[in-house]
Amino acid sequence: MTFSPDNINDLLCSLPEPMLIMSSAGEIAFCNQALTQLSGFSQPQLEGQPITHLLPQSERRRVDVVSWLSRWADDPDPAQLRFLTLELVTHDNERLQVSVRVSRYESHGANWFLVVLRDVTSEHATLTRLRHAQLVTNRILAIGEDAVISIDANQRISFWNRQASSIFGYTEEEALGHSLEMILPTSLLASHQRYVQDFLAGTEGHRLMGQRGEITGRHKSGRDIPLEASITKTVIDGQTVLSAQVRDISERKAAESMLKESEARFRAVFEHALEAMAVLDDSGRVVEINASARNLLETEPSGQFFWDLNWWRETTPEALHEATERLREMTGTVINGATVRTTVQLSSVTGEAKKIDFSLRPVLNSNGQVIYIIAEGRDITAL
Amino acid sequence: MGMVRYIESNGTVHEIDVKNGTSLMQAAVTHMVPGIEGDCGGACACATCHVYIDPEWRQKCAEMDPLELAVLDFAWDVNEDSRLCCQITMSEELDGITLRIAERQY
Ligand code: FES
Repeated sequence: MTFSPDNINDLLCSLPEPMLIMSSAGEIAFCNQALTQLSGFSQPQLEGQPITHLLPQSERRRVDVVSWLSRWADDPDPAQLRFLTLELVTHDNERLQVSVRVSRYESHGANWFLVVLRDVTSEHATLTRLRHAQLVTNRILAIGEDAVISIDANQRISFWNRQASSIFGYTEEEALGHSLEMILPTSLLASHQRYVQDFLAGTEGHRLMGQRGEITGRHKSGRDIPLEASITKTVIDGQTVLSAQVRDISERKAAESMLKESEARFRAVFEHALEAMAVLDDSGRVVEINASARNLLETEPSGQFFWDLNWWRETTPEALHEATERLREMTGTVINGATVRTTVQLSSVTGEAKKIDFSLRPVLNSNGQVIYIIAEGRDITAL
Repeated sequence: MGMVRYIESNGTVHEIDVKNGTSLMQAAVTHMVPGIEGDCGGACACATCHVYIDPEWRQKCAEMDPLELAVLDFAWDVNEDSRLCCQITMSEELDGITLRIAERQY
């Protein structure tokens, strides 16, 4: 059997794509079933009507459908057809976005336009949603405190945010497409490579900051930068994208070392002081005690109340009790904010009688609350 | 290099340093200015980079060519200040220009 399109009308009618034939005056001469289904108008409702019945002129948009359709018909592949859509208003007054394809043919000396329409409403809505979500995500990444960097399967940088520029000194333009090596110290290239290979081969989806500890990056100027990083991998179409969130910890490290230094200074003064010194918490328990104070005790104190330490070499339990009680009371008044200074008689571990100029002073915080108590004792036996 | 001020239809202002020779659509997209889509990548084929420019700055921009004028047919709420900003290239003269972004690009 040979195919003979003897009834072209039936053929167009059963075409699965919505289509119409328009006269050069912009009148709908024919429409197929798919178009009546899409628009909700019947064939008689459309045929003979101006095309603006279906694709009306909008008050807010000046596009003249007839002249654009004839313009497009004359150009075999106008770029606009890939991006522009017309608005189709259905019988139920629903607005659909349609992309069009159009060609011109001549018959009996007249021009006709064959117009094929495609409903892209939901495609457009999805695309718009995605773009907006992407815009929001990108804006978040752009203002983040951490650098965000992605690399493709070849370790070329494919994403670089503002903070990455400020940490590493390269602009987005300078970084995109370049190898990650540009921000790594040469000495660490091999170990970084191994780390990445290991992560790629592994089953974890991400590794968080702190799971790896400190790493080192390289600034454009060549300076090393201490960093922390979390990484995550995303496989898209078989291609792995690695993304890292990178934090510059230079300042934190500097603060830490300053703190360590000042702690060491404090310790040196405290431990080497000739006076016996102790730091108590706000309930009177010993937090720290220095070497001179330890010399007055027989055992190493640990978290006891200051007054319970064995300062005394009293012979009777009553005398011991009395001395302990006196010190407890004194400490109690200091907990309430007072300062106490007195002279006490003690005997050292070796049994020497000692006269001690003893003071207890509160240390207050900015709200005036006692946070520590400083106990100090100076040996004034010889004075 | 010069400063370009983009104002969203809700009034949000974005001031961006743009290199000479860069299109004002591209600069907006790179800096994630909401409201400028640039679907066709600057081919003057999508009308999704519609902005309004006041006359004093419009004079300093290159003339509109017939294609831009035609494609503006597809933009929403076009008036005499309308331009497709992919067709405007940054130059010394445009340092300080303000573009008001159209409320709707699709
Ligand atoms: S970006 Fe498409 S017309 Fe300007």
